[in-house]
Amino acid sequence: MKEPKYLWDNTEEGSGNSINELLDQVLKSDCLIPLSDDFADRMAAKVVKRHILKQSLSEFLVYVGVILLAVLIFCAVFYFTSPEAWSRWENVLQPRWNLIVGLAVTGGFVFFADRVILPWAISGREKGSSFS
Amino acid sequence: MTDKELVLQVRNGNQHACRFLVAKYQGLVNHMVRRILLRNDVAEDICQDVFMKVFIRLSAFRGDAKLSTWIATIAYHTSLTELSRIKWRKDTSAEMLPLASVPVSYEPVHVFETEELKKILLAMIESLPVHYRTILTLFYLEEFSYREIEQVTGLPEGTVKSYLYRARFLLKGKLEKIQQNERAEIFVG
Repeated sequence: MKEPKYLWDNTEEGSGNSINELLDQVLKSDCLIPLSDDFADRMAAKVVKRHILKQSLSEFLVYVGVILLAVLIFCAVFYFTSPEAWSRWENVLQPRWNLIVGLAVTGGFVFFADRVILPWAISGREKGSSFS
Repeated sequence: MTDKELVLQVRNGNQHACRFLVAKYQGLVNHMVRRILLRNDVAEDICQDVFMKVFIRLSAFRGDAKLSTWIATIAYHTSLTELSRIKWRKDTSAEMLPLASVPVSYEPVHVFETEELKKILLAMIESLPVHYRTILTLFYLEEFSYREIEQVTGLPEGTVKSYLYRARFLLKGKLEKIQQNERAEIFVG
């Protein structure tokens, strides 16, 4: 018959020490299920994508701000320097306001896609690239 | 590479540094999340949340504490928040850690092999209150000092020492019970 193997010293004096040793051994052993092997790669890619999105979005907003400011300054200068020419242009543009808004929105979307969506979509495919 | 250099590299946008940071600390985060939540089904998602928070808040890292302590603090608070959310939902259909499914009541005849006893001991650790589990993990598995555990958990150093002693005392008591049963088994045998 197979002799049972006991884990600790079954004498009174030895039992305290063996329990402490066993406790230390178990407490210090890493028995938990590890994360998947590619966890670090996936995490880094996710962070890079997020960083690129944040960076390109802020760049886009800066560009839009600068363009709007330039248009606003141009209109203000035009309005105050030659009011007659301004009203002439106003008469030409006012009936076509929906066309102008449509063009502006389309242009804005194309610009947004170029500056934000495209870099963000491409960033996932470029492996090992720096996102600075 | 020191932690300061690593943080600087990540802030400068080095993807390899990002990967290195995750690889270096994923063990710590994984241990904390799994020991606090005791759930495998959500552990990896929570680890991802922890690292996202780490990267988002990295600009706020001043370097007063060690990076491991700082990351452990984020992991600790994120896990506790998730734990309270899980408790609130009372989601009982969740898959528990296999180790937790090991019955804490045992037959002495089963305690002959080391692996078997380790499983029972791990189940005992998982049955401890969450603060005890966290402190045991940080102290023994991650080898954090009392001071570092205080920084992570926000518990005073005296409380940390007391919890550590009590957790060990509880585990030792349970082990002694197994030992007594085993002795009785020899005597009967």
